[in-house]
Amino acid sequence: MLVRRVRVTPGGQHDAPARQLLHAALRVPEVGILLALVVAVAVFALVNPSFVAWANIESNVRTIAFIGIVGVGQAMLIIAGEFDLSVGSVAALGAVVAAVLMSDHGLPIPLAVVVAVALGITVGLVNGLLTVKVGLPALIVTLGMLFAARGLSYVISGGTEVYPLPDGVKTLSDRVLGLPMAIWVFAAIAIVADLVMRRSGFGRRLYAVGGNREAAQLAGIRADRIKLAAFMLTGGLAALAGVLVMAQLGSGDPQIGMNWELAVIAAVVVGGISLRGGVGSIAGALLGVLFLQVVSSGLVVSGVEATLQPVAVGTVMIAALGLDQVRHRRYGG
Amino acid sequence: MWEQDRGRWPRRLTLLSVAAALVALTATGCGSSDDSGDSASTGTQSAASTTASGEKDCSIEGKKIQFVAPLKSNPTMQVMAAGFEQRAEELGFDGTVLMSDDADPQKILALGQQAMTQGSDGMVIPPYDAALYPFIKQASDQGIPIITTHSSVPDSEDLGMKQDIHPDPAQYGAEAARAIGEQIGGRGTVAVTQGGFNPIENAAAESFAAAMKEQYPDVKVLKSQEEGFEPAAAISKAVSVLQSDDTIAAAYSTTGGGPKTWAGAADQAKRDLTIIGMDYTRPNLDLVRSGKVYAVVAQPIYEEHADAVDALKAVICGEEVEAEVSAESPLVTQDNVEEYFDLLDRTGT
Repeated sequence: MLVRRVRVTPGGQHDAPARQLLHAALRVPEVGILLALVVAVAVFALVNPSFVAWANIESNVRTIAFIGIVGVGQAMLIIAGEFDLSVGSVAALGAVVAAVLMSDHGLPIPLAVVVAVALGITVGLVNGLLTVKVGLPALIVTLGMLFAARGLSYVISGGTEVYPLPDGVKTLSDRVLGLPMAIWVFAAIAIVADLVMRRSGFGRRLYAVGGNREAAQLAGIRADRIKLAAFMLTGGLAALAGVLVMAQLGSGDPQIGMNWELAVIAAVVVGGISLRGGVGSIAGALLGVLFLQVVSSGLVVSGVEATLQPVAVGTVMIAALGLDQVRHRRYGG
Repeated sequence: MWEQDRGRWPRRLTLLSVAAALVALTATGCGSSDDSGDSASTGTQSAASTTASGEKDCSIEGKKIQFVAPLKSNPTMQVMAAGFEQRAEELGFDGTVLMSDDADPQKILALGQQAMTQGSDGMVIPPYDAALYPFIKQASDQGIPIITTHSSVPDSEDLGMKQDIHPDPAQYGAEAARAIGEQIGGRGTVAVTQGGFNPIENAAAESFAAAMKEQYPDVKVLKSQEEGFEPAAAISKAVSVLQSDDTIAAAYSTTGGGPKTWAGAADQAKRDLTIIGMDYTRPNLDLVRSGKVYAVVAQPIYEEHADAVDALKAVICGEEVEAEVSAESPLVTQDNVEEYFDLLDRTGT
């Protein structure tokens, strides 16, 4: 028998099911950024319908694929209560190292990619050890690594693009089922990461450590190891993103990943991840990445003056966060 | 501006011929090769004589000159150094390249002091940082002729250098406008992007728009967008620019990443564009060779530094040289792209 549940408000009025549904939806944390995203797409499409042209959509998705891969790692790390400012430089380092190994040293492409990702993981490990074991602030450690890794990229590449790369690299940027490889890699990583965060013990430990480290340790969670793992994951994903950009460009450019660090952190925070740790989701973080990309692209397509675009991006970002706070206070979630 | 440091100057300055005429007029005395051992502070001493035919016969054998610059592993800087070194060798100078690992001006100052200590008859210095100005003034005050290259020194600075050779962004911006206007038949829309809104790129973009307006009034030039220096983000922004206007027929970028940015964007948006960007790097030259990019602007980094050596010789030989020389930056198209591959091969970059 179908039982229809109708909520009775203190005033005695019956809430309509649609209203209940709306309230339930608004309690979902990701709904705030999703609504902001829908509004942004609608506004930009109204201003210039070509904003929703396939080429623009694909370009935006391809761009967020690179930053999104980094965003997945950064989101997990921030949920664990830390953050990494070196991701953009590690992306460049991964790209340059892979490019040099395959072009100058003749390493097979898959092996070069594996070494580059392993290097990213190692950089993450160093960040993690200095932060978690030595006790240095992540801000200082990863800021230092930002400069060191970028500098190393320039040294290894001789200050210029590593070019040409072997022809086989193009397979890393080939289209599969009509979409560039990077988008599929990003989608796979995002789905796995979301499942890990929602369903696995590792995901629960990340939330526990980020939410309250002492309580997590009392509960038997080895917080240091969890944070180290998150740092390593972030480094590895950053290097992988760099390799995918390298494949798209056909050269190992030491400028890959320039300014990604703040863009990624801003995006995941807009997507509902708290910088204090313990709160947020991969889905929300990626919606944040998509939202900022949509706004950046939409401002260009709408013909907004170039010098005003950063102002607009910043304003929209703050507005989106503000709206989400209002939603959170009124409906929870 | 260092990412734009690629280019060629089709002909050397005619300094030597001008200098020869001046020599004949001023009949300045010339030192012999015997005084080459005295290398310190001899820069402005006359070392020229005139042959019976009126040609300059100035011995600079053994004169010590230095190229003091940053970023020794940077290919752009290596091309600059090659221009200096090869010309110095041709002329018989004892030329030395002193380059630092990075762009820290303090290291350049240390290298400059080292050159002065070891003895210098002249120096070529790219004044890329104002922190170098006091050293240039100090060396000039001590009688060492200095030629500054590539970056212009503000008019307000009186550093005493003999010549300032640098490319002119207004010139190559206008040249790019002429080429694009011609290629698109004087109609359509042109997108413009910059790596950043710095004075040099602003000048190039503004001169492009002004020249287009003057020569091809039916061509609409969009306001410049900042593509930045991150390649993936730059391509994405260029695709957005293309989506904003379906009449865009060409794109001009004032930065070295521009050719790759616009070639990538045209590919993603499946648009046929006439593209002009900066710098003759190998990837950019390949894009020109393949036809994906119509042309790149070639800043004359090799020639600038070869000409700087010519200017040093003229000064050492007692000639007057122009205080400021604007170096022409030609376009590299499919017609002359092989010359630039040869240049890169020759300079080992």
